[in-house]
Amino acid sequence: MKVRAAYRLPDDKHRAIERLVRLEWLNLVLRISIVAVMYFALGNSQAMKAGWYEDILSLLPAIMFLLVVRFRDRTPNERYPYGYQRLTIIAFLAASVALLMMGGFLLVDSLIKLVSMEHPTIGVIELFGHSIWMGWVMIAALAYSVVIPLTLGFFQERLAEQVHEKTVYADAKMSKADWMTGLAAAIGVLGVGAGWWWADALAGALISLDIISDGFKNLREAVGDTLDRHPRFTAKTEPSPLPEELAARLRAMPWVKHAEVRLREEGHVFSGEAFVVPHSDDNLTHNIAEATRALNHHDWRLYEIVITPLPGVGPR
Amino acid sequence: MVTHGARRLLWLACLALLLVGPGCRYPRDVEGTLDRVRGGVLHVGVTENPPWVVRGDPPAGVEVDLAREIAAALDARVRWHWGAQSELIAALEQRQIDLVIGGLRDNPALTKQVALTKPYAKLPAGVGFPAGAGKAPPDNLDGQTVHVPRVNHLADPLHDEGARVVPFDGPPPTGQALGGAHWWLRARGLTVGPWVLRTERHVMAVPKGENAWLALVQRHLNGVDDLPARLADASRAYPDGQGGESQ
Repeated sequence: MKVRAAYRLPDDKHRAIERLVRLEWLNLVLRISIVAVMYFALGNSQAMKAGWYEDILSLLPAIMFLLVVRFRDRTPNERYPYGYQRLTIIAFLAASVALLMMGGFLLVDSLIKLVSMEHPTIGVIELFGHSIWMGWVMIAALAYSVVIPLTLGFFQERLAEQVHEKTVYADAKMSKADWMTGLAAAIGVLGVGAGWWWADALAGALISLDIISDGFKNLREAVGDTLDRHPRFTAKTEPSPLPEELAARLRAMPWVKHAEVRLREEGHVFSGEAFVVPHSDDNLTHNIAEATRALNHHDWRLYEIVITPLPGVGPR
Repeated sequence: MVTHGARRLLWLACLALLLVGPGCRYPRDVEGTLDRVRGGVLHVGVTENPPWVVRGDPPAGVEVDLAREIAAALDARVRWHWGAQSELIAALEQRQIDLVIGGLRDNPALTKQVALTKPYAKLPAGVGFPAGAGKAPPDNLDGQTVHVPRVNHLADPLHDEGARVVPFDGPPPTGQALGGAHWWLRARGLTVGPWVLRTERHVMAVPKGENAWLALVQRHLNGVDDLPARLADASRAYPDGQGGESQ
């Protein structure tokens, strides 16, 4: 079988990836510390429980990125002639399903607590010789769990955009939106302190809805990638103009009468086909080889474009 | 810009609730137990379990004294309600009584039904040996015969240590190695071996969601610093007490 050549990142992008890997390690370590801190402050609060599960799930994107980045640059081989680029998409799909399921579970759990009118108990603990209401400890833990992703999310977003890492970009977006779930949990805890038994479970339900919506957004994105939807740039929701750019470039070549291009996303890179109607068959193989080289160097995200010549009429 | 605004919103929300908080006592009860008990009646469910709760009219014991102190601090009268632990816990779940005592120990099944205080006493249980002339406790429990009360929770850990477990009914046999809480073994004049087979974590139970009431009980328990002396007194006053049999 014809095996693809390995994909090679340009040097500056390679350095950016290395920076991103370091950032994601830092992200992973800090997020594990958040999970630990939240665990010790959990108590019987439903809102805290929901927040904690969300913190655990938010380890997934970092872990998956760090795993995938290690394996996806393996050279394509007889067994996997298209290479391993799509690992990213598989990881993304798995993470989104995990989010959806956990969100659903937490929503049901919170609703049961609401319906059964369960009165949450938040007790008192001894800290440094003082009796402190556990609610204050919970809020301190929540503040910690909000500030770190908010700060890291800012750097993640910038770096991920540079290297077209969708998983990290989606993670950064979620981290930056996490302050809302933190605030909801804090209000839930404070509400319990004010004697409103429903505040906690309601906050828990809101947080689960947020987890579900994150899961749904990611799932839609992952399914779109799997279905080879029209490629999009990381930071944008509109389709990328890259296929039209490539087609225009082909049409500008003197031997080309008509051309159209079709692209798909393979993780962080694009591949696809170009269909070309030449003016004549003279020198055709040479022309196609030249054009292929030109297209593949058009943008760093392009992995492999295959050009197919078509006779006479339009390509459709 | 978004993150800046978000952070400010978070601080504003915290600040607002901080300001409201101390003004109206924080945390508060969902069902207002503390307000009702203060200057009124404290309904306490009691299960016999010496030396924590000793049957009598009025009841006595370490936890009975603690409950009296809490009531006194609130200027409240105490009504005692005798019952099996399962009955009392069910009544507490439905907020018919305010407090359940009787040598309760921390366990996850109880936490599902009611709110437990943090353990106010963590009492190690192990093995005590008769203090003979020049006799020291053995190095390990392997092959040792240990007598334990029929109702005990040390049989499994003792088996694990290789000890031969002999249950007794009635008063403990003299001149034998006994298993039990360290304080109880000491009160019987035994030399306590270095093993901690179980730690008995003693708690009290209040209704769920009564966070002000729970906090008050907890603060009182945290303030008790003479528990060993109380236990020693209690075990002298009620010599049948076997220490922490609550199930």
